[in-house]
Amino acid sequence: MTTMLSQTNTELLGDLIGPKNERAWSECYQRYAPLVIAFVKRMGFSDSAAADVLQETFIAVSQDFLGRDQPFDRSKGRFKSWLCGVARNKALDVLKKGKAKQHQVISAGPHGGLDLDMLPDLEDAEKAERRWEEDWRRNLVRIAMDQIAMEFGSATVQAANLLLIDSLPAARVAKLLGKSTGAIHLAKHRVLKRLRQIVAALVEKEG
Amino acid sequence: MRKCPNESDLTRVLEGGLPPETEQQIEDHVEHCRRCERALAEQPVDEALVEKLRDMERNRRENASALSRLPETKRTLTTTLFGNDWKAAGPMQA
Repeated sequence: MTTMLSQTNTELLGDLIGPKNERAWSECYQRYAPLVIAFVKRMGFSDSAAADVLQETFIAVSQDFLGRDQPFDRSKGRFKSWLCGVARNKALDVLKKGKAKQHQVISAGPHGGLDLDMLPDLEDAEKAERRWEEDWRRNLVRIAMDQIAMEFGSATVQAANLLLIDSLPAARVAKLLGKSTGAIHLAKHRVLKRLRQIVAALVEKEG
Repeated sequence: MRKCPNESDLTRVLEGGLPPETEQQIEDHVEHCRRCERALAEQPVDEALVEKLRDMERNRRENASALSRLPETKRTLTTTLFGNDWKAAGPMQA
């Protein structure tokens, strides 16, 4: 795996221009594919339809960037909003095609019910962008945690996750991982400190 | 290190800024000292940040089945876009 934050977003977008830069595309996919999936899954898309939206979105991004001879022009809008527009349009396309072919695009939502209430949000650009913004912020935390796993090792992240996300007692986490309780608390503080730093840097760079 | 680090050094271990050797000595001590373990456990955490972490993980778990398709979609995309696999790419993390 490439170093996730080896490039700023602007540098990464610059590398997508012109000659086919496979490494930049791979990194772009790792950063943003989970975001597109999260966005359409919240709208109630099935896994298969979400994969279709993802594929169409990246093909559209590719066609746009490979045909460019200038860097992404931030003065004409942010990449974040532009990508939201592409993903939203492709989601609407997949929805229309699915309806035409009588395919089931919408499936049971993550909580077991249909998320049809979300569909008007997809059709409304402003509402869709607000949803996207929530998913974007969440995605920054995901990117940061992937980076932390690379820096500290997966065992440190696992310790912090068991303690902070799964709310297991420190002594139990220590026993599970064969570490001392002090080491588990150290891992927790270090992960949180680094998470705060990386997320702040990403927000500054990417919005 | 036999003696417990003072509060300032303990904080600096968390914040960074100590020479690596000193940091390692404190870490080794903390791992086996109940008193320091308690001190670390009592250090406040940023609850808002923890909630963001939980929210991200909830979302990741909810979308686990869709995210598990990412490598497959990537392969299809690379074939479509480049005609071969992205050689530079490592395993996709869902």
